[in-house]
Amino acid sequence: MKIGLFIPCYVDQLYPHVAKATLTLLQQLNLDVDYPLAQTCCGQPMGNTGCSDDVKPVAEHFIKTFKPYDYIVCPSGSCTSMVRNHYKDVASHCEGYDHVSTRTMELCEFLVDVIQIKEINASLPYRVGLHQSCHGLRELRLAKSSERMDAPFSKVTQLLAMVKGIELVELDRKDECCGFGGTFAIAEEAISCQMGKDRIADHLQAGAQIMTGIDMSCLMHLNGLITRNGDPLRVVHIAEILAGTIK
Amino acid sequence: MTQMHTHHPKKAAAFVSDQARTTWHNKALWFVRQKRDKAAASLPEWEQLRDTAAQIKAHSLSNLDEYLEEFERNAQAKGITIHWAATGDEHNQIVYDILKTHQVREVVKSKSMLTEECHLNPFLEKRGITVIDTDLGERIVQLRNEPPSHIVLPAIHVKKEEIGELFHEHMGTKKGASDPKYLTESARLDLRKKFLDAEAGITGVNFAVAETGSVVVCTNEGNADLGTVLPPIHIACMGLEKIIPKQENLGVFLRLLARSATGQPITTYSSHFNGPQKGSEMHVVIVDNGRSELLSRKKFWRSLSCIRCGACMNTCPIYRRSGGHSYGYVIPGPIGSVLAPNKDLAAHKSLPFASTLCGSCTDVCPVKIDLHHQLLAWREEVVKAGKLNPGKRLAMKLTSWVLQSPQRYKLAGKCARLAMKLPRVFLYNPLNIWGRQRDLPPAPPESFQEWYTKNRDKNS
Amino acid sequence: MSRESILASVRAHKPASIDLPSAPTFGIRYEDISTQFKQAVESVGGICTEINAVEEIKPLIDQHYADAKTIFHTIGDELPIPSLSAREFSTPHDGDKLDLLITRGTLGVAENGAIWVEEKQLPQRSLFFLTQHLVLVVKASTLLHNLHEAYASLGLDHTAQPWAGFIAGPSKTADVEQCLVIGAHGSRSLLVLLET
Repeated sequence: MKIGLFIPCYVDQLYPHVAKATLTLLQQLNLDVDYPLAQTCCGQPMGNTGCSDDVKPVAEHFIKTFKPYDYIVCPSGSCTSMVRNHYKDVASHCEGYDHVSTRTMELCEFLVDVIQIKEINASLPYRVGLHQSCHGLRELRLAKSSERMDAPFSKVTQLLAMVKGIELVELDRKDECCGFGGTFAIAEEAISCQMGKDRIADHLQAGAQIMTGIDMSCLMHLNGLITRNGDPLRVVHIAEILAGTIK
Repeated sequence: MTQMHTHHPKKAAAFVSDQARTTWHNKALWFVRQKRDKAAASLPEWEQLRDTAAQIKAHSLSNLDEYLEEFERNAQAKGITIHWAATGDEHNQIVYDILKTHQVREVVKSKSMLTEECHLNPFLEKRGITVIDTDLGERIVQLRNEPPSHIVLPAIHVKKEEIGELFHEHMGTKKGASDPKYLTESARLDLRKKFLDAEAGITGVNFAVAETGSVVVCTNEGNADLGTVLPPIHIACMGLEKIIPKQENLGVFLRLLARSATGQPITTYSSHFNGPQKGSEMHVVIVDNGRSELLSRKKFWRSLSCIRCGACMNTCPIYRRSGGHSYGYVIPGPIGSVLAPNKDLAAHKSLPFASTLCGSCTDVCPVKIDLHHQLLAWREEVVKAGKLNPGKRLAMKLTSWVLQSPQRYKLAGKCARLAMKLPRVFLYNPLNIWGRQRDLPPAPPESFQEWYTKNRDKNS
Repeated sequence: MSRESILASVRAHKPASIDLPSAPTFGIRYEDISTQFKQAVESVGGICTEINAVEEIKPLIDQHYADAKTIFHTIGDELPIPSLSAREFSTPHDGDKLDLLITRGTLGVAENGAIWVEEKQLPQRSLFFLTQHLVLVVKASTLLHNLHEAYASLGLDHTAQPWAGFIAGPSKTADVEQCLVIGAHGSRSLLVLLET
C-alpha cells in the first residue's frame, strides 16, 4: 500500500511541524509514505469563493500528482472534503478522478477505517478540548453531528481515547463552528472573531489546558485570537498528539 | 421598511459590536436549538421522519401542477374561492379587492411570511385599510415599525424592557413594567377587542392538502383561529409550494414542524380549515412570485421544500450573532440566504457568503434541504454573473495561477513567509483585516516541503 | 387571472417526477399509553387527570374552576353542572362571554398530548378559542400512539364540516424574551379528563 501524503498549502508553509508529525505518525505505523513534491493545494480557497473555473486547473494538477497512490492521506478534513466532495463539478473528466476522489482520506478516518488502529503509543497527561472542525464533522462524517439523532460515534475521540493520560473535557456546545470559514474570516471579520472568542471561552470554562482539532485552519484562527488575548490555552493539531511530538 | 437589500458584513459588524446583546441573542436562540434537540431525540424515528418528509416534498414539487389543480377542485367543491397570483403585487391586489368589495376597514392578520414577502401591510394601509398583526411577536415588531427578525420568533431581537416601553406607549401599560406575563396579558386584552371588531381575517397556510382541499394552519396563541372564526371573511394566503398530496402526510409534517421550530411536540392549535363557516366566505390566494421558475433550477429547487420552522436560524452561528435584520431579506438565516438571491442576485449577493458553510443548517433541517451546499452553489452564481468584487475575483485568478505550478507555489510561499517576518508595526497595518483581532502565526524558517527535500533520503 | 400562466410555468419548470413514499410504519409506540399521554399533556402546559366515571367531573370542575360563572358543556344531563343553552350562541361573537367550556375530544395522541375536536360538536366553533378555560374529556380507549395512527383513524369524513383540528394544551406564547406565558389569545388553561 503506497500512501501519498497530501499536506495542505498553509500547513506546508506555516505549520511544517504538523506535517512532520503526520509523516512521523504514518511512519511509526510502518506505512510506505511518499510526499509528492509537485503538490500545491486542493483549490479550496477558490472553490469556497464560488470560482469553480479557477479550481479546475488546480484540481487537474492535484489528480495528476496523486493518482499513482493507493491512498492519499491528509491532516485536514476541509481539504479532504474539497477533493472528495467538490471535485466532481470541475474535474470528473480527468483520468484518475474516480480513484483520487474516493481514496483521499483525512488522517483520523484513515487510521480508523483503513488501518483499523487499536493502540497509539503516545501520552498527554492534560485536560484537552476537541474542536470539531465542521467539514470533517458534517462533510466527511468523522462523528455524529449534534443535530442528527442517529447512533453516536466519533472517529476522532476514538483515537484520542487511546492516548495515555489524556482527559477530554466536555464542551457546552460540542460542535459549534469556530468562525474561520476560509475567506469568511476576512469578509465577515467581526462575526468570525466573535465566533472564535465564544469557542475559546467554551474551552476555557470546560477547564481545557490544550485545544486540539483535525484542521489547522480552524486552529490558526483560534490560536490567533488566543495569542492576541493571552488566553491560557495551548493549541495543537491532533497529529502532534497522536505522533507524540508535542514538546 | 420594505427596502430589501443589504451588505451583510456591515450590518453584522454593527450588531456584534454590542457584545452583551449579541451574547444574549446567541444564548436565546441556542436555548431554542437545545429544546429542538431534546424534542427530536425523543423520537427514535427522527431521521426516518426527515427522510420521509424530504421525499414527500420532492414528490409534491415534482408533480406540483397536478396537485395544485386537485387542491383547487376539492377546495372549490367545499365552497372555498381560489385565486391565483403570479406576483406579490397581484396577490396584494386580490386581497385588497376582496376587502374592498366588503367595505372592510380593519383586518386582523395572523403570521404569514408570504404576506411579509409581498409587503401586503403597506399596500393595504396605503389604501386606507388598517392591518393588525395578532401574533404577539408580530404585533411587537409591527408597533416598532420594523420587519420580523425571525420567521417563528419575530421579536427575538427585542428585550422585554423595550417591549414594556412600547406597550406603555401603545397600550397604556404601566411605565417601566416588563414582566412577560403582564405584557402578554395586556396584549391579550387589547387584541381580544380587535378580534371581536375585525371585519376580515387573513392567515398564512402551513399545509394545503390536495386530496381534501383543506388548508392547515398551526399556531400556539390561537390567533389564527380567533382571527378567522369571528369575522365573516377568511383569506388564506399561500405560496404554491405549500401543497402536500394527502391528509396522512400531515402526520409526518406536524410531527417535525413544532419539534424543529421550538421543541414543542406539536403547536397548541393545528387547525384544519375545510371551508367557510355558515354565512361566511373563505378565500385561498395561491401565489407564485418566482417560485415556479425556481422549480427549474437544478441546484436550488429543493429550497421550495421549506416548511418555515426556523430551525436553520436557531442553529446558525452567524444568524445568532448577527440578528435577522442583518440579512435584509424577509426570510433571514440560511434558508433566507438561499431564497433571496433567486429574487434579486445583485441586491442579495453578500448573503451566500454570510456563512462558514459549517453545515449545521443542513443537518437540522426537517426536510433535509442541502442548505450549505446551496449557499456554495449561489456563490458560483454570483461569480458567473460577474457580481463578485473585482479585487476578490482577481485574487482568486492569481491564486489559481500560482497553484497550478509547483515552482510558482514554492516561490509565493517563500515570499509570504518573508512578508510575515516584517516588524509588527508594518505587519499589523490597517489593510491586514486578519490582524485586527488575531495574531498571525509565526513564520517558520522553512516550509515542510523544503525540509522534506533536504531530508528526503532519511525519510524514504 | 394568472391561473393558466402559473400552471403552465409550473409544468414547464418542474423537475422529473419523484415517487411518493409509502405511509410511515415507524411511528413511536409506548408501553403505557395513558401515562405517556398524561405526561405529554403536561409538557404542553395542560393538566391531565384520570377519571373513572362522568360523576367525577363535577368535583374536579368545582376544584379547578370555582370562579367560573358562565359555563357551557356538551357532556349532557349526566353532568350536573348548569350549562348555558346552545341558543345563547347564535353568532361566533357570543362565545366571548364564556368562562368555561367542557366538551369531548374524539381522540387523544400520546406522543404530543394533542386532542382532536370538531366544529360540529359545538353551537359555534369560536367557543374553543374564546372561552377563558377549556376542559376536554377524552376516553382512554381512544388514545393513539402517534400522529400517523391518528390521521389513519380520523379518515376524511371530518372535512365535510368547515373546521376540525388538534388542540394541545392551553394557548401560549414565548414572544417576550422566550419566556413561556400560558394564556395568549385562546384558553388560559386546559384540563384534560382521561376517562378510563
